[in-house]
Amino acid sequence: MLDDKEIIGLFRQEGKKEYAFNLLVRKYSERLYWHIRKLTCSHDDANDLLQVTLIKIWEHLPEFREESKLYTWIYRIATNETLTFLKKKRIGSFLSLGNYDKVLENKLQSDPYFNGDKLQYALQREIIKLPDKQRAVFTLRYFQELKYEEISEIMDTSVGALKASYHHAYQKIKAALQNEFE
Amino acid sequence: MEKQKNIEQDILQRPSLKENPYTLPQGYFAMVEDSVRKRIHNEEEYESGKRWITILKPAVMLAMTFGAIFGLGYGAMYITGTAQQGSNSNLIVKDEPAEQPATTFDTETLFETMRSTALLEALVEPSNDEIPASTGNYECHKDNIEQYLIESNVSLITLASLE
Repeated sequence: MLDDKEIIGLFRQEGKKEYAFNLLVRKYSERLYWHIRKLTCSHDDANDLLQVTLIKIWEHLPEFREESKLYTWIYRIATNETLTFLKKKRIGSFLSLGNYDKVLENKLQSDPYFNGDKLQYALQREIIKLPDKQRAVFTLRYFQELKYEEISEIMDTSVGALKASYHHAYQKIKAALQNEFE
Repeated sequence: MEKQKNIEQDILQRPSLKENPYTLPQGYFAMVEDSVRKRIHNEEEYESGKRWITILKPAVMLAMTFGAIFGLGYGAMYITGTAQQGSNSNLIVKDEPAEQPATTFDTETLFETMRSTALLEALVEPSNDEIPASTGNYECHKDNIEQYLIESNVSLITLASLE
């Protein structure tokens, strides 16, 4: 598979834009999907947000100035789209006097595509309880195993703040799981 | 050794927790590719249509604004009766009769008119004396002309111009 720079070079060649974009979609759609899915807890929402993200990448890739790595730029679009989506949902839920954390938990419970054991379910449930940004940080670090520097570029936050945020989330989830399973 | 023990005790370090607990519909990512391609084509078609609207919209809005201003102005003139002067006098509704325009009047015209209507023959008598150039073959009697002018409701301005 071509690396990111080769794909960008191909994208800028006359008549190869669509081919290069298809390569990009094949390379990143799966990783992006799982990142979004873990934040939204729903296949339908993740599917919609993934498509919106890919369309934004198509629209804005000509303006990409290669000041950052392509994959951090792509992750940033996906993360921002998802956080905006969650914020809207939370506001909607607040206005209808509901609790969006509860909605997410119900989605997780009734998700036909969830195939994990009790411990995995408990982990997902505890992740849902985190604030949205902290959840994004935890997901990127714990599941995607990105470096803090990379997460810093994606989230536009300092490495120190990210470390503190991740550590706090980690300890909180660990305590909850240990309390339940040990 | 201590570190290894801590990791083993840390529930979040269990390998099973790092595994993905979710599944997906079969062939989902192939479907995503097609779906995204279709959405991009649809959006581009929509954008090209929108581009024309964006170009034409200011011109159409400008034309509509001019039309509206012209309509309002004409409507206001029509209501106040100003529009009739320039164009259609049939549309005028007036309580008082229109003021007669000042007539340009001179004796030549008066005699021409009188001659053509045979009025002059009734007013003057043929004479063998010297015939004034302005009256053709007839000599006017001053009294008759004055009498006629008085009776024929000629305005003072017209009479004054006869002097």
